[in-house]
Amino acid sequence: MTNPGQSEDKEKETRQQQSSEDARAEQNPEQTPASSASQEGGEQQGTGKKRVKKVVQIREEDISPHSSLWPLLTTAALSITLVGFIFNPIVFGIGVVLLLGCILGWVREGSKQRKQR
Amino acid sequence: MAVRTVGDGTTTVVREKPFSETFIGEWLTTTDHKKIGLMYMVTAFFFFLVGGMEALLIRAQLALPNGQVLDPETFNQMFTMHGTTMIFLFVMPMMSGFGNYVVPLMIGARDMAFPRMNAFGYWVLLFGGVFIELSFLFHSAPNGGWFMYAPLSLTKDACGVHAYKCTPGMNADFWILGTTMLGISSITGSLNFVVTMLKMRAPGMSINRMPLFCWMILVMSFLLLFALPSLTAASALLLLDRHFGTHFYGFAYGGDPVLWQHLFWSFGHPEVYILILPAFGMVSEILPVFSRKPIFGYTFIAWSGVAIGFLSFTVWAHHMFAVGLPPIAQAFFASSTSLIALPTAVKIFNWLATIFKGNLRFRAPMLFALGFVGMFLIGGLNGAALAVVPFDYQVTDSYFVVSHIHYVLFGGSVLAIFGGIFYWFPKMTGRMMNEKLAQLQFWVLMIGLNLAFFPMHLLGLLGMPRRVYTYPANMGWNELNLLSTIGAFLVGVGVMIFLINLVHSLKKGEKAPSDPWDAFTLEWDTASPPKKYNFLTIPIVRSRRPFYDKKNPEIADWKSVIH
Repeated sequence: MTNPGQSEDKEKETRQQQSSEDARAEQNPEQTPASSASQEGGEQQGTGKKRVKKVVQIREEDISPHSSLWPLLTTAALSITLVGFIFNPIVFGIGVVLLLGCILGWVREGSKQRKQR
Repeated sequence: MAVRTVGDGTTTVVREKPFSETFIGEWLTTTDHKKIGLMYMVTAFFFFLVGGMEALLIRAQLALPNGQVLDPETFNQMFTMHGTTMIFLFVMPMMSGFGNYVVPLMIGARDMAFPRMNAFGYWVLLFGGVFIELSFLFHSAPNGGWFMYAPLSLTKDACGVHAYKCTPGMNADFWILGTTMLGISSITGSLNFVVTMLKMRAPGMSINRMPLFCWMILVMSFLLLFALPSLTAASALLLLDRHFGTHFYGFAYGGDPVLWQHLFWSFGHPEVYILILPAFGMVSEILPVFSRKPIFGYTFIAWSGVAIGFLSFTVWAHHMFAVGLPPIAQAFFASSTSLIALPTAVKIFNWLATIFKGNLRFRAPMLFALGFVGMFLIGGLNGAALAVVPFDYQVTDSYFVVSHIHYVLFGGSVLAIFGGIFYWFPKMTGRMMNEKLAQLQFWVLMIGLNLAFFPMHLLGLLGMPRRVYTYPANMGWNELNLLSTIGAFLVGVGVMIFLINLVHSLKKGEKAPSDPWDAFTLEWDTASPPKKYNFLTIPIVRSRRPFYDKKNPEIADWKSVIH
């Protein structure tokens, strides 16, 4: 969506900041977003100006995808359920139980991640 | 268990490395759209090799009259699995792979909307694919054609008086279950694409500034969401017929086998556009970059994709002209099929206008994109011929139709896929592919595919039925079949060249800069390969070529009237 209210100058400033950040990240592949953000804060303190700018500490984990084993486990349970549906009712029953367990685990992991955020 | 030591000089912390940080664990538990995209693509390419080997076996059997390379039952399994593998396990997942990798980067997002569901979609695809292919181990590979027509797919009981034609084994069950799993995968993937593109675009990226590849993936996703339920319903009814004594398709008990055809093709024809629309998107990204011009007629290309999407739901019965549809239905479906040629032509004319007077660079992605335009045009034109009912009567279920579908899907989708791989490979791996090998592969493929598929037009006109096991020597089909087989093996050589190039480039390829093609879209504004989080700060977009604007602020697109 467009940002009609944003002035051209502000946008240019933001873009310059972004390109310098991206370039810095590319030049120093080991540098994490967290360290990059805290350096910025230090530079500002050094100028001596009383400009208050909130520096948000961003950790790599905050903006990177979280790993999860539940999608794989849920798929395995779903496969057992479907195979059992056609070939063997006992396998089907086991599959349903496993599938419900996986869905529960998936949901719990999701709510845990939301709480952490 | 692996351990990692973190030291600051005075204290040392030893912690166990969690499973998700080991090499295998990282891939098994990842929800990163880039890794999932790569997994989709590697899996799809593996199945491409499987489907390709099936094709070579089919062509080996048909190379000479009275061929005995395969027995008839295995031949049936081969052509069924070739179609099923190529459509459900190669082209669809490959397009999903590209979409997964590229779409979030193109729209300036850090990941897909539902990362875990994204991973789930991939795993279901893998399990479903392995399940279908495992049927070979049980000597029960599906054998009723990739469309699994009833009553061929019914059991003896359900089939009644026509029992000798039916499928008593588990062959059709493998197909039903496998395609159901693949359908679940596609539904989850499509939902994810739709929500990602509608809700997670970077600030300033209105829908009319979204890259055309994203547009086409969006349309493809909607097509999947609306078309797949039809296949799922059809499969569920078939399953009930086979195992629970119902008679939805059994004519002997008052069922209707044509119902299967209606349900299947109301999925099956949108499916063709599901396979080709992302290819349109790739070509629409590649042509402007290698012509050094903005795309011509962005709006027309985008909305013609939407028009194709809508119209694709109105043409399904052109696959069924020979079943005895009433004349009014034939007239309707013939007209709608002709109509769909219009938005397709709009795209082709816009692509031609894009390269017209452009500063063309004939690198590998451009060659494949141009090859796509030419080959798809041939497939489209003979498709338009098939929309004419009297002509369709003459060539229905003949090799003419086989030729048509292969020009569309091999000349179209597969060439675009190779173009896409050569285009985005530097971004995905940080390495360049070998240009000479890529160009050699292009020409070998072009010669091979035309040699393989063009003679099939003539074979069809000479009356050779599709799916025929063998043929006597006096039909006038011998030379054309031999040519076709030579062409198929030449295509195999082309694929081998690609594999050599792939391995060589991954090991020793020249290191790729972040923007090797001087491209226009946001994915090139990241490192090669991109960081886990894609963008440190989310970019702000002011035109359809945001990265071009960033590189050329003086002549940025947003300074012009239309952007």
